[in-house]
Amino acid sequence: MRLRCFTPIVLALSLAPIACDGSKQPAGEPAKDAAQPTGQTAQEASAASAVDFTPAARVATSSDGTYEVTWEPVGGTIPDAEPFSIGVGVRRIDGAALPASARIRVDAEMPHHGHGMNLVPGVTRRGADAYFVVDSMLFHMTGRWVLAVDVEEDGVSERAQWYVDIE
Amino acid sequence: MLVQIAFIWAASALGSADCPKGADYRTTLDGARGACGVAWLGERLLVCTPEAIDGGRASAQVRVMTGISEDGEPLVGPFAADSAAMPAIASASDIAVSASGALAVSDLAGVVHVFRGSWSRVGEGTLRAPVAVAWRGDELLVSDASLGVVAEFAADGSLRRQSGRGILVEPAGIDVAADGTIFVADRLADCLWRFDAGNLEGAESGAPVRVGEAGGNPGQFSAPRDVAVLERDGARCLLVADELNHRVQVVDFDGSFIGFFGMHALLPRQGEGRIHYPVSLAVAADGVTLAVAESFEDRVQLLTLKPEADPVDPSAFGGEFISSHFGSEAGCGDDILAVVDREIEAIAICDARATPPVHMCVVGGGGALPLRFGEISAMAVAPRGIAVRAGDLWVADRVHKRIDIFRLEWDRAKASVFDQFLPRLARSMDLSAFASRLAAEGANPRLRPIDIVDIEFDGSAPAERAVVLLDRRNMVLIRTDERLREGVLEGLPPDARQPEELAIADGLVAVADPVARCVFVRAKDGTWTRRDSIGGLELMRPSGVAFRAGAAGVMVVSDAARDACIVEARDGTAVLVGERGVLDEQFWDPQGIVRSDLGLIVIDRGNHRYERFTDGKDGDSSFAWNLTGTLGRYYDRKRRGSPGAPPLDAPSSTPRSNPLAPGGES
Repeated sequence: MRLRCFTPIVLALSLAPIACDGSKQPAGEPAKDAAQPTGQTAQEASAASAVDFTPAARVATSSDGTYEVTWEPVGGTIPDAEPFSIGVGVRRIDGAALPASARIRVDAEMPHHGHGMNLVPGVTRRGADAYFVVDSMLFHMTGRWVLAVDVEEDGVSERAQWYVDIE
Repeated sequence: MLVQIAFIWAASALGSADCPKGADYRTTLDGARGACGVAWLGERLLVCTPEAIDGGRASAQVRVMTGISEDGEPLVGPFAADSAAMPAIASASDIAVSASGALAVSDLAGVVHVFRGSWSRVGEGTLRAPVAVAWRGDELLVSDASLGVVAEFAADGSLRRQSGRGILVEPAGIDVAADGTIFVADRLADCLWRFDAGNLEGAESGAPVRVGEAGGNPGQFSAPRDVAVLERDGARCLLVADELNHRVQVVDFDGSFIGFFGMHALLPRQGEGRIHYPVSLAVAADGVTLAVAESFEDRVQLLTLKPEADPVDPSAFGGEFISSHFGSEAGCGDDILAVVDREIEAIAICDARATPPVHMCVVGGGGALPLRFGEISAMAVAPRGIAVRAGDLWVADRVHKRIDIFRLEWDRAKASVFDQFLPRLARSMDLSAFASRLAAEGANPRLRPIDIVDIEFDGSAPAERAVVLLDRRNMVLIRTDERLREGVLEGLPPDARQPEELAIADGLVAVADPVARCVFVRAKDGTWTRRDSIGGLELMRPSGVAFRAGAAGVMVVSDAARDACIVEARDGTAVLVGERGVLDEQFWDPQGIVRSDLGLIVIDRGNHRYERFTDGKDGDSSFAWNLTGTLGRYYDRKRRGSPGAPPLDAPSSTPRSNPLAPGGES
């Protein structure tokens, strides 16, 4: 099993329309990737959240445009049917600091199959940074997954999500 | 010749320690509209319904099955020889008889009517939504679904205590064992709660014990609605009306599985032992005769309990079955139709522009995970032209206490196809946090946990007030913005009881209340008026309401007790559209109404479908059926036997093999 879309050349600007084989969606197709292009590179996002992301990190703006969310697997790759961890950076678009009370929730599902992961991820915030380490991720099947990060402040959460194709 | 109910004892067949594992069918009491409670008074079966229709008016809701005729038909009579002796009951929900013969009828208007030689009212001012009653000696126990407690009243009617607050989610049916142990079915928690004897007395170990868990496997429950204790000959077990598993399940006092029966009516109107949405149980004094009320089917079935498990019915897994279980909720915003499938707690999304609407995806499903729902209590699709993002699907979840916003974006220039990747969660808003923000604003009173039963959008309101939430528990409208940042509360009229559906148009607000049996209408100046009838037609059990197009204040009301829609014309007259039945322009428990570009859509819950009606834009009486739909089966021409269509036995000019003749199936 390997992650096809996860290549170093996939930067934020081109992530949204990328299909599993790396090609762009045909013109007129609905955007398959819920992530909105942010106009910011992973390095820029990394700098904003004071966290080191590699260029392969994936970036998306949350649904209502409040947050920019960046993630990548710890160690750079997603292992075959093995638990793994990801790092998640969150930046408020308005430039304000992410409050200490803010929380994130990470989950993944396979909409075609109607199921999620077999593990419940655990989230740890690293110090005062808006950086989170998410353990116990597991893509146990090949196919298209939807990875979602919900950022919650004051009882309102917004979602950023990506398609991740595993083969 | 009449034969008094003489229960055939099967005690010899039931071992002293045996609990039943199956049941044989005996007879059906049909026509008990909305049958919601059963209890035995000696050998007579008492059945309560939300209302009875007598000469076009709602009247006493308790009837008595006095016996069975020689040909097996139930014999029914009024509860009292002098019907005037019955108290005015707004909407009966359950009935119980004590060992000494006292009778209690719970009333969703917030009171229990108790008969001990004369009628009295118990719990008035304390109870909010009493849904079930039981007796423990002379003490009355009441499940209140709104308060989330079991209330205990002394023999003099005084409140002794309320138990289970913060633990029970939505208590339903209740029963008491001989040793005082109390069992409560919890519809939303998918379990039973056991209050061991003494716990309601304030013992320190007062927390109830959870019995059972959610699911469809043996020993699991899905929306248990009632529980009946069966104790005889040393056997101690519980019979559970397992509503969404469509069965009666037998477990011991700890929840260990013993058996189940009644599974499962696959099609509406199936019966004779097959059970569909059971809501109330009562075991007769003989210990083997079980009455099962099925409000969905408007009937009560009598079964004989037996020690043997029922054999697997091979016909239950073949032949025709239905493809959807539409609940009462629907939402439509321009080109998106969303309909709740209550069975799987999911939402079917369709492209409403087409005939038939194209099923595009399913949102949700039951469970606790993100994108899963506990119970969908309200739903709406934001239309264009309001200060809320158009096309967003709003879903209120009663169990998880949140509102989720789903975004559905697709290329509308292309043919719609099924795409399970289409919906995505955009935002989730916690209702408890919202309640705290409302309270912090100072001008608003402190709210009890919000229970949203409908969502609407006010096109005439500014963005910060464009979303209108109908909160049944607090009996208020909440006007807020699309992120629930802040809001203002507006109380419903004091005579509101169980508001169900909201409609807004031209600055007017209508609230259908099936328990108050009226529609409340709020004018632009904020004054409320109560409409008990429309065009001279009394509202029996109004469950859905919509304003008609192009005629301010002119309404359509779905009436679940009439199995019809009351359609108002601009001149103030009204007509009944629809009748009881399973064909086109017929209904079985019509519920919510939503507007689409192609007409008003009425959820026909009892037939697991919706029907669409052309709505004349001039507000006249041109309200005409144009579609019957479920998932995968649609009729856009009336079938034979439907109102206005050729009768079933009329000669056909087209081959019967043509599926489109005389009614078209798409």
